[in-house]
Amino acid sequence: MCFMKRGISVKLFSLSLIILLSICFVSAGFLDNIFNPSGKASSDTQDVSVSVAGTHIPSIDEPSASIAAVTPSENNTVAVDFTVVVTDLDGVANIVDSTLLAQVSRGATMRTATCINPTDIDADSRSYDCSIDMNYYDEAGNWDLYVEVEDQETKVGSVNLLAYFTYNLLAAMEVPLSPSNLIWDTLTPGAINQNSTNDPTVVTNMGNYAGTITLTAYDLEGETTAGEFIPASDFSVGSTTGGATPAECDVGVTAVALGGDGNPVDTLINANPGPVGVANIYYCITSVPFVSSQVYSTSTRGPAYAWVVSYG
Amino acid sequence: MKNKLYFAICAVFLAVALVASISAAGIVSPYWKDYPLTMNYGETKIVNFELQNMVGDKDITVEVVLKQGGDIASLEKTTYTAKVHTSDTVIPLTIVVPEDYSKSFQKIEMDVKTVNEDTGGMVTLGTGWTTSFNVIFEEQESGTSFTWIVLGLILVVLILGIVIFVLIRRRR
Repeated sequence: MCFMKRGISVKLFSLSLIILLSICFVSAGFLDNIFNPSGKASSDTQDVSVSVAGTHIPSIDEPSASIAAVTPSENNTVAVDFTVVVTDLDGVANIVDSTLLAQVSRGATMRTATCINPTDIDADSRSYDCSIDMNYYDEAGNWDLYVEVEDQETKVGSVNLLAYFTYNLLAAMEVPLSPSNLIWDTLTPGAINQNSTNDPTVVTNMGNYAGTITLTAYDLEGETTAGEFIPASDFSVGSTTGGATPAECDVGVTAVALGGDGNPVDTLINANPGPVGVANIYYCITSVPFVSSQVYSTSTRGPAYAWVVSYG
Repeated sequence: MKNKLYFAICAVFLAVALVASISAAGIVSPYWKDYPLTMNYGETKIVNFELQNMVGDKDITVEVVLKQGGDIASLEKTTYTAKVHTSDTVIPLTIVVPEDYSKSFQKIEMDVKTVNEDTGGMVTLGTGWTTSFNVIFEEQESGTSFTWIVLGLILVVLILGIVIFVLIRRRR
């Protein structure tokens, strides 16, 4: 009986203690009121807001591998499309869309992508549709990809893919050439350094070929008396004109002598790829041979003997 | 005043005619001087070059001649025509490397030139492209034969195990 009463007392005491402690914790000013001599509350209520910062760095999951080779298009741009997938384990809301940067580069040349259409894949991942316009004159070879993105805590996630794609070589030029034939005034045997009267030939680069121009020349045959020739090796070319010795005639200085019949020669004239990719070719007969008086031309031998201005 | 107007109209028409007559032709190469093709001895590969005619209003016909590498490379034909505004005219070059080919690399060179109309004058000018690249040959990896050797050994061990198992059971 005595034990029962004692048990009830202990339970009641415990219950009271819990209630008292609850009042203390729930009402922050309860103990203050007790111990404050003025009996007034020592503090006011406050609004409390808690912001939890994300701890994860965003990652770029895609692209993760190289794509197929890209082919340039004459005098135009070609779009390289790809999808970027960003994952942030702090949730997609933590990704700052506007900080997404995707670039391809080769050497010092860089092209920046336009990325649109952010789409949530799941709670942590978001995809973007990206596109880069490659110019027809952009250099052939391997292009690297760099992608970066920031989250709300300005943590930066990035990926760098070497040789993301190969940009193919497009050797293209405006055809027909302008002019498509060359004319000289009447020539005197033994005369030197005689310029064409309707040059230069304008070679407009419509691709990304970055080398020099090759010229394959053929001997000119007499139109009246077949079997008489002005050799191709009597001609020279240059990229400029003018001067006491015309620049296109000054072989070894500013001009290059053409090869023998059908032999290609590197003119050393740059094909100048770029938005204004133009090269000029000026022509000269450095020495008029002592041949009979008649018209000499390439057409005597047929269209297969037209001189060929070529890339490569 | 009338004369000036007449000349202005003529100039505009001439400019439009000149712009309209511009064409461009080009060859797309998957391999070039600085970008060689790697092949194995005994391998065959078709390299597709593409003829583009994206600018202008005329079809373009080209003649193709293989200048170097004819011992391993061959063309189906020598004349190709690209229709206006197309880029899908393919010039296939088949490369067959014999098992016992003696070289470690071979240069392939292909001349492409437009088929010209005679335009008169002393010298008629045509256009062209020379496409050249190296083919580098590598020994084929012996991964396949290694796999067969391993599989054979496993099979032998299995057969031996079965034989031993059968012998032991018979003795009992």
